[in-house]
Parts: sequence; C-alpha cells; structure tokens
Amino acid sequence: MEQSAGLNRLVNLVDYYFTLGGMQIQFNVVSKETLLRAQEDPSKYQNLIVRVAGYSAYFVNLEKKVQQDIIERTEEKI
Amino acid sequence: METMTQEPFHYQIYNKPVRTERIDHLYHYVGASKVGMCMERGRIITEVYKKNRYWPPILLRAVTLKTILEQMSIYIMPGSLLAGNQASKPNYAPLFPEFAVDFLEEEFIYGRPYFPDERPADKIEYSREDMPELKEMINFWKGNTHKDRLYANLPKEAISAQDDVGAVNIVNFMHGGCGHLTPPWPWLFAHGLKEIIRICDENIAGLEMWTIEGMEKNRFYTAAKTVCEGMITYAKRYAALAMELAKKEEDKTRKKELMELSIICNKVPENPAETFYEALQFMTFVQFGIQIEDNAQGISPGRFDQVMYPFYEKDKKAGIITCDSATELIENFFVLLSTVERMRSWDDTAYFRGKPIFQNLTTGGTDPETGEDATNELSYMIMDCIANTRTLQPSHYVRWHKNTPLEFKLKIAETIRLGTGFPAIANDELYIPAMINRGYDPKDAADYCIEGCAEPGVAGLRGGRTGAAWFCLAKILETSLYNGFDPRSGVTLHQNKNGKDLETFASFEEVWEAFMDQMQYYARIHVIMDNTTDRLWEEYMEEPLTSVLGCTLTCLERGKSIKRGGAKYDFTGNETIGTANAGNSLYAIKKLIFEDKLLTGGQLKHALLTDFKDMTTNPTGAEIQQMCLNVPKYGNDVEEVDMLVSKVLESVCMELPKYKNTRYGRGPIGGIFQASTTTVSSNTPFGMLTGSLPDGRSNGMSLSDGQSPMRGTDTKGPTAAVKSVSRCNNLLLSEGSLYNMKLLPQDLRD
Amino acid sequence: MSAYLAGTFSKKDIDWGKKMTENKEGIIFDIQRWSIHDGPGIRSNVFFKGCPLRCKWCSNPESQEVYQELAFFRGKCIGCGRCITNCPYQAITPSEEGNIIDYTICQRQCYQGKGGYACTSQCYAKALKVIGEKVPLPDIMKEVLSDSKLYEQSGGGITVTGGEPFTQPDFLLELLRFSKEKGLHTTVETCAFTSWKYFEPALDYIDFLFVDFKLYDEEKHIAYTGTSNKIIKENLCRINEYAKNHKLTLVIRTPVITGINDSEEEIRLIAAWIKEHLSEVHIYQLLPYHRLGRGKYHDIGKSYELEETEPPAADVIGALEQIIRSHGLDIKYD
Repeated sequence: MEQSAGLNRLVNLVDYYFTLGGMQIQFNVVSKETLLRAQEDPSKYQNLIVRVAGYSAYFVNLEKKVQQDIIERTEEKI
Repeated sequence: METMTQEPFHYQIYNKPVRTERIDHLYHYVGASKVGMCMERGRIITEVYKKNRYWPPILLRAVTLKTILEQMSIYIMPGSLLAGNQASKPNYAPLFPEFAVDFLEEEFIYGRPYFPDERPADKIEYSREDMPELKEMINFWKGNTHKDRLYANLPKEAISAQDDVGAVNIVNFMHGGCGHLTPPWPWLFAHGLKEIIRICDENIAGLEMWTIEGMEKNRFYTAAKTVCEGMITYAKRYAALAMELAKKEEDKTRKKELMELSIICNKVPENPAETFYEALQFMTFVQFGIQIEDNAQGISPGRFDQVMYPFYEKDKKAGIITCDSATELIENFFVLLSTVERMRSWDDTAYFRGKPIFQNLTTGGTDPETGEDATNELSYMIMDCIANTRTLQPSHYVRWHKNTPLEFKLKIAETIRLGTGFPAIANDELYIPAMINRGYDPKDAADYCIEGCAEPGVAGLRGGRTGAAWFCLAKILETSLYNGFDPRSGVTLHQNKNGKDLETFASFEEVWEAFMDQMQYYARIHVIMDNTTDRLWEEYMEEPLTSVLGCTLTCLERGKSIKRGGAKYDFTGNETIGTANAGNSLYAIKKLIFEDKLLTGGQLKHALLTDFKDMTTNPTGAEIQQMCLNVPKYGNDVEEVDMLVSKVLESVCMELPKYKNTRYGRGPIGGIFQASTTTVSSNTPFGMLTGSLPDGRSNGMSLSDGQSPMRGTDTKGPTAAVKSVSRCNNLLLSEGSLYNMKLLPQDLRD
Repeated sequence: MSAYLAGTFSKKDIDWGKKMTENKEGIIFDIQRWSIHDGPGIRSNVFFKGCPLRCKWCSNPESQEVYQELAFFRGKCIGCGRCITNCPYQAITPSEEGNIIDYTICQRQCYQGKGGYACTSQCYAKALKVIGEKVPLPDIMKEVLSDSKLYEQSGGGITVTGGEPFTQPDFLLELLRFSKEKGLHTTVETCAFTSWKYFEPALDYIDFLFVDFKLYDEEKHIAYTGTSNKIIKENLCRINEYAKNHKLTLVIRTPVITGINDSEEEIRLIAAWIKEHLSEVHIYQLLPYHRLGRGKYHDIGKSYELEETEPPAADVIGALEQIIRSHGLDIKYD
C-alpha cells in the first residue's frame, strides 16, 4: 500500500474530528474544475462517481441543481 | 500549485480500476443495460390479487411473493459466479402497483411532467407496447393502493404539511415498504431456510387455533413458510438454469463453473452454507428476495467482513479458496447488487437523486464479545474491491475506533482518495453509546452496522423504520417568522402561541419560543404521518419474508411480523434537514435585530418576503442580504453560532422521543421516535419550497445537507469545520449523523 | 537602498509596532489553522504584519507594512455606494468599472495608526476590509490552542510567520514564551533581518526555525529585496553557534524566482556557503515561485513588477535540488 503524507493528514483529520465527539463523516475528493468539465462534456465523464449524501451517484446523471450543490460545497484544504 | 489547478488531477479518472477479465466484463455488461421498467412483477401481482384479493393480507402477500419468485424471469449473467436478479434485466426496476399507481399513470400514460424516458435526470426506458397492459393494470389498482389508503387516512393538515407547506415528507414510504434492516446472517447460514420452515411447522402444530391469537399466529407461520418455500424454489430455478447453460457451454472452465453454481443453488438457501462461496450465494438470494417483496431500500449485507471471515479462514486453510479468488467473488457480488433498481416517481427522484438503494456494507469495528478490534484480512480486501469495482451499489461504511490499526486507517484513506465517496466513516465511540442510551444492550450495540444513509441497526435485531419522514427545519423556521404562515403556499397550519412574527417579536427569546412551537407542531404531524404509514403497512402490506429473514428469531418466537412488534429493537427514525440554515438564521436574527440593532424585524421581514430584491428600502434588499450573509456562520468554530445550531438539533432530538411508534408495548425494546441528520438529496427539493432566510440564502436555493455547514460558508479550514460539527450533542443522534466534506485531490497527492 | 531608507518602512513604524506590543497586543493579519507546509505536522500559522524587506516577488504584499491597510475586494462589491459617501476625505470615486480608490489619500488620512476607515463601516458586503488587526495575546492563544489535540496527533504546533515576526520583537517573544508554557512545538519563519538583541532571547523558545536566504550576492540582494544580506549572514552564523548546544532545528529556504535566482550558480553559492558556515544546518529547501499573490497587490492598491514572470519548471527545480543534494544537504524536513 502507498504511504503518503496526504493520507496521513486525512487520517489525522478523521481522528481529530472523532476525538472531539464527531459521529460520522464522508468525503468527496474532487475539484471544482473536474466537476465543471464533467458538466460541460458529460460523455467523457460517464463513470465519474461522487458522494451526494448518504450515498454515491454518477455525477453526470444528477439533475443540474444537485450538481450545483456539490460544485458549491466548500473545498477544504487538507 | 497553480499549474495543478489548471490541470485538475482526479484519482478516479487517472487510476484505472484493476479488474479480472470476468469482473470487467460483468461491469460493462451491467453498464450497457440502461435503467428500465420491468412489467413482470406488476403483471404477476395483479393476477394474484385478482384471484385472492380478499385473503388475510399476510397470506395474500405471501402467496404473491411466492408466485413472483416462481414465475419471474431469471438470468445468469455471462461469466457470473453468482446468481440472482430482481427484474428481467440488469438495472430494470420492477413495478409495485400495490403501493401507488398515480404516478405511473401520470408519467407513463400522460407524460406529466415527463414521459419517464424523457426525464431531465434519472431516465427510465420502457416499451410503448406495454402501455395498454400497464393502463389496464393501473385501472385495476387505482383507488386501492397503499398511497390511496394513506391519503384517505391521514388528517388534512398532515397532507397539507407535506403537499402545500413542504415541511415534512413521506413520499418515499408511499411507494414501497420499509426495508432498512440486516438479516441475521450467521444464524441463516448455520441453519438454512429449511430450519425456519421446521420451526413454523412445529409452532403451527402447537397453536390453539380456535383463539384469535392462535389464528393470527397461524397466519404468520403459514405465510413465513410459504415465502421460504418460494425462496427455495427461486434458488432451484437458478440451479436448473445453470445446469442448462452448462450443458450448452463449450468452454470447459465455464462449464465447470456453471455446474458448481448449479450445485450451490440447489443447496442454499434451503440448507446451511458451508463454504465462503455458498454463504455469498445465500446472501445474494436473500438480498434479492427481500427487495422483490416490497420495494424496500436499505436491505444490508451488514458487517460483511465479520460475517464472512469464518468461512474465508476455513476455506483458505482447506485450500479451496485464495485471496484472489475470494476477491473476485466479492467483486462479482458487488456487481450483482448493483443491478438492483427502484421505480421512483419524478417527484420522489428529487429526494433520491442517483441510485440510492442503500444496500449497506459495513467493514471493520470491534468484536462485541471481546471489545477488541475486529479488522481482518477481508476488511482490507473489501477496500480493494471498492476500488476495483466502482459500482454505486452496495454502499460502504467503515467503523472507526481508537484501536483501529493505523494501517487499516491508511487503507481507508487511500480508498476515500479515489473520490467515489466510499467508504463513509462511522465513529464507534459515538454510535455505540448513542444506541445504548436508547436502550440497546451494550453487546448488541457493539455489533451495529449501518442500514440506509447513516442509521445504525443490528443484524437480525432491529426492525427497520430507520430514516422515516423528512423533517425540514429551515421551512419550519420560516413559518415561525410569519406567525405560522407559509408565504409560498399561503397556508397557515398552526399559529405561534405568542401570536407574534418577525415584525413584532420583542426579544430573541420570543423568536426561539415561536420556532420551538412550530417545531413541536410539525414533529407531531411527522409522527402522525409515520405512524399512519406503519399502521397501514401492518394492516395491508404485511412483509412475511422481510420479517422472517430480517428479525428471524424474535418474529418466529412471537409468531408475528416486524410491523406487529416482531423485532427485538424497534425505533422510528427521522431525517432532519436544513439544520445549519435554521441555526444560522436564528443567529442572524439575534445578532442583527436584537444585539447589533442594525435592522428592525420589520425591515428584515420585508427583505425576506421580497427575496432581498427591493432596492427602494434603506438599507436596500441587496444590502440586507449582505448583512445576513456576513453574520458568522456555523462551520467556522465560532462558539456562539455553533451552540445555537447545536441547541436547534438538540431540541429535535429531545422532542421526537416523546412520541411512541405503533410497536410500542407490543414486544420490542424502544418503540419510540429518534432523530438523525441524514438528508439523501432532499436539501434540493426542500430548498425549492423554502423562501429567503435570515442567513442570507435566497428563495429556492438548496438547503444545507445533513449536519454539514451551509456550503461555501465554512471558510476557516477543516479543523474549524469539524470543531463546529462536533459541537452538536451527537450522542442524542441515535439515528445517525451525516457530515459531508469536500477535499481536493491535489491536496492528497504528496 | 533599503526599504528603511526608501521611506516605505520608517523607524516610526517599528516604534509604533513596539508600542502596540507593550500592551501584549500584536498586529496580525491572519491566523491560518490546518497549515501543512510551515513546519512539521499540522500547524496553526500566525501572520505578523510588517516586514523590513520588499522582495519583488512577495506573495503576501498585505503583510509588508506594519500598520493597517485598506483592501478592496472588487468581486464582493455590490455597488451600493455607501463607502463613497462615508469617506470624509473623498478618496473613493465611482466609475463604470467599479469604485476607484485613491490610496494616497488613505495613506495620508487613515494609515499608520491614525485609523478611521469610515468607508468600511457600512460595507455590508465586506468588500472593503482593514488588513491587520490589533489582537491581544490571549485571543491569539485561544485560537491557536483550539487545535492542540491535532498538534499532538500530528506532531504539529504553532508557526509564527508574516510579514516578518521580528518587526514586533517584544510581542513575538511573549507569544513564543506563552506557547512553550502551553507545551506547543514552535516554529518561526524569518528573513533574519533584525537586530541580534531581538533574536537572541527568542531562540530559547523556538524549536524549529526557517530562515530565508534569498540571494547570495549583496548587490543583487539589495536590488531585489531592498536590503543588504550582510546582517542576515551574520545572524545565521550566530544562530548556528547557538544551535550547537541547543535543541533547535534550523532550515534554510530559498524562494526560486525565474530569471532572478534560478541559476545553478546561485544555488551552488548558497549551498556552499551553508556548508562552510552553518555546521548545524542539514536541510536546504527550495520554494518555487508561484503567482497566488498577484491579485492581492491590486486589492491593496499596489503594483506588481513581476507580472510576466512564470513559475519555474519542475525540471529546473529538480536540477537545483540535485545541486543541493550534492552538497550533502537534504531538501525536505520530514
């Protein structure tokens, strides 16, 4: 398995959230640019999966408003 | 750094999945089949109901399912090592006309608002040739569906709360059964369905059939037996099909595979499973069977790594399985589960965008007996399978705790980095105490798995009903600002007790009072809607298979189905949404009107009703919106606003358990309502129904999702955001918490 | 000519900065939690305002002056026009392309501790913002300590950066002393252009020190940063002496700017100097130039000279790092 500082930070963040009393967390790991490109040219991004809420879905199959919701979510720097 | 943002790197796109030829082929085979409508189930059930309509419901439901399992088309996908299907083709959704036909008529027959194959999203293919038959089917059911009964039975104000105001919503449970449970796999694998049939026979023999209780129990045991027999027939049909295919097959290896599959399908689920392969095929049949029964979601494989490990270990020692062959089987299983589809109305798809079937698989966690970490080899393999298959179903959770090995945590992080959203992470140190707090036995709680979005259950012990009605706090707050009046629909269902509105509130306490008042009013409506649904399910939509495979031991012992109190634990959950909007809005009112006195309540009220667009006022609507937007927001580690959000959530958590569900006092532990913060995608449709809010959000915009901060308002980095979210009293969220965080792939690259 | 002499950074400013810190208040312009490139682990960065250097590539131009400045974020402006009427000095005029601010009026009227900034009072969109805030020490500590659990898990802590932390030496010392009292790992990022009398007492409270060595040649250093590098070299040697018998990690960094110091010769000279004079230094890190600071110049009414400069290519950096390694130095600290 690949070891990397980024993965360690992700683990740190989850550990930190849970020591504070967090209960559940789920992630989207995708940039706004990728999502915007997928919106523009859906045929190239047919298999792009994103997390909506308690489940995942193909981004290009989502309705525009839900796509927008995901695009607008804050990108946390990690 | 900049060059990277110009050329976005995305793990899912650049890291190609590693699949065996078989899995790759199956993946594309399923992918090539578009989402469609399958007439078969609808056709069969209509025939059965035509003949036996006035039978006692549980017997009627049992014979219906048995007939479907005997008659529906079955197929084995080319190369597949496992058998099972829900409809005539992959990604085809069966019809459940007994639940609702109104939308089938509107959409398939009249194309209102769209013909299903012309929808802007979530399209459904179908054959126009089937329409005359569908029309006839609709005519048979019209007026006698579950939904019709609900509308006839619900008080007018409850219907108005859903259809006019849009503060609560149960449409999801108008179109199907309850689901949301995990079968007791170890027991089923060890005993097989023949043992259930034996227990039923034994119990029937001892019943006092001349009493009402005896008659009722007789119905249950007979129904349970009938559906188990149906399941055995269903499996044997695959056995025959596999044999037939084997005979025709020219490739020697495949021929052998099909013959082996045939032997297994003859054996399980009737008999106990003895190998990893048999257990997996057993699980596959049960997954499909329950989903065919009543269109339920959240039928979960549960703690897969725990349940399957004993088989894996044994087979590996015996030399009949390797890590690679087991991985391929699991991946085959994933692809098979991904063929499940659910027919949703266009309206309902707004709440469930995509393909949320919620067949949840939970990995990792603790051993309930020893309390020690339970991560095993399969846990790691499952993470690989997620990366390799990349199917939307099953959905995945991992349980995370203090003693989860760092190596496994890193493996999880690596899987998350792919960006499929899998797995989500549940904190054992919160989920377990939250369940114990509601009455779960500590050992049972320690064995929890996720069923649905984020709701905890225990295999074989919890009787579904997680994530019941949607409960939109943002909308409820909005009505409290206008003395109960809903500006969009023009409806007032309940006036504030203090009779005041945003213009006349004299203090923040009065605002809070009004909000609490409306929240309590709508919580009552929420309970009425859920309990009415439950009562009608119980009376007309019995689910013998779900009961006897979902909560096997208690249902068999009590001789009744889950909906009559057959489960060990029974809670009705809720799905609270727009929490951040409600809390942020209350804080903005507190700050702008009562503390900094930058605005009067009248000014804010006018600005909200004109969607911040009136430029003739001083300050102008646009300026007022900026004032609202710039009040500190939840998600930035600002204690004052975080505590208000927490208080809002806590009030819901305290209010709901005051109500009992329909199984209270009928056997299960619990029997009350409890809160969660799951949203699915309902924050979008609820947002469309919710007007401008004091947090600066414009009319109609999507609300905040889950327990997350309102998107774009958490600007102080991840630590501040998680600090805010963890300030909520999560221990009270015994139905689960949901927090979405978005990260950039390039940040995880180093 | 130094910034000091050029008049952009006067002695008065330092005096004023010192006065502020007498009350244990610092002038800071940001606290950034979850910082990952400024020392080991996950850290919180405290950005001090004020810097004696004027590097042409500076990516934090708002950090240069020790006093408060006005920033105008054009994207946020909703054009309500309240700032125009609220400014008593007529510094803001409307135009087709949005409001135009005459920063020379701001300099005269509101900057250098005079305050006022009436234009921001009713800017509801927060398009106009005063950069730099006098923040009491306990408030900074509260924010920094709020992530202390995370520092423990990741081996992180506090990083004081800027600007140049040593423009507020007394406050810096207080902040570091206080952080050590709370058991935090401390990192400081400095250009080392300061009097040794300020540096020496602070060292006892620093675990990890980044010192920028921007250019080897003194003339060039003056030309591109406005100051001589003589004091910097002297301070580095003194720090090295200190590090010989104290637990201090000293890391040298060079921001690599295309066309200015991206030559192999330049890096070779610096690396050789480090080997010759700094026995305690084992890590010499390169920071490739980026353009993220560009927009900020415009926001605070300054002009940017490196408009045309491109970030150095990956292979250029790779070659330079090879030189560093060939001197027996590491290029990364963890």
